[in-house]
Amino acid sequence: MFKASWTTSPKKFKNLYDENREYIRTAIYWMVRDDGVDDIVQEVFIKAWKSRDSFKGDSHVKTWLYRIAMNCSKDYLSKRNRLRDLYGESDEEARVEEGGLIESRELINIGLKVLSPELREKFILHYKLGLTTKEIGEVLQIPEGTVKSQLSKARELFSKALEKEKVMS
Amino acid sequence: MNDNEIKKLLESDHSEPKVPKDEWSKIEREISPAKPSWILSLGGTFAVCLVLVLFNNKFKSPSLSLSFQERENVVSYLFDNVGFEEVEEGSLEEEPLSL
Repeated sequence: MFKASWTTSPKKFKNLYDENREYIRTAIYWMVRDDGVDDIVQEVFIKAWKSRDSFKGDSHVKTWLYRIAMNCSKDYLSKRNRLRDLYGESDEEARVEEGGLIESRELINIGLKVLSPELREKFILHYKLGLTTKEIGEVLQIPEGTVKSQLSKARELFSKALEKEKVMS
Repeated sequence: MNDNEIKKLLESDHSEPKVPKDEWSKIEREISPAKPSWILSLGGTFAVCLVLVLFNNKFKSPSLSLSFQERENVVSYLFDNVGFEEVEEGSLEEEPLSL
């Protein structure tokens, strides 16, 4: 039976954490775009440890971690959206900051906001993290064709939102 | 927007937060095997017993278990030294002390 070395002790698991934390953090941050990222990163690695027996080694550990990260991020987004429906959007989120780099950040936020969590994960994995459509299919365990069509839809929605914003400003 | 324009726009955002210093220690706390609760409760019980024993040793009243000879000595001492001057005459005759 396959057993990866990192599954044997918390000390060895730290190596896995050290090797993967950067891109996992990036993936989560781009999914949620707020300061909930720290809690989600912790949650991902705790879940990875607790479900280590389910890692069979038939996929790369990076793919497996991406899958956990995407699921945790989507759970977080669902909760956040439910809270926003109840209490409305926070002032912090609605605030438009000044300055060149922040302007592009705001622009990205506007584009991402129109994407559902399902579309957003494909968009981020492809355009930010550079995964191919085939790799995204492996991460999310869906056919490559589905990835391609959803990616195309995400790109269209993102572009439209940005164009609309440019016209309005 | 085409693919390159989107990638370029995403690359221009460097707002990603830094890794908190204590992140691993928080994860480690959650994943390290916890001590079984019965060990903790056993330890707690032992500690309480130890405290009670120490407390008892420090503050307990002196032992009153005396041998026959010691009791005889105490009674003799009391007869010889303690307040029999105030006892009225005759009362000893009516009610003799019995040891």
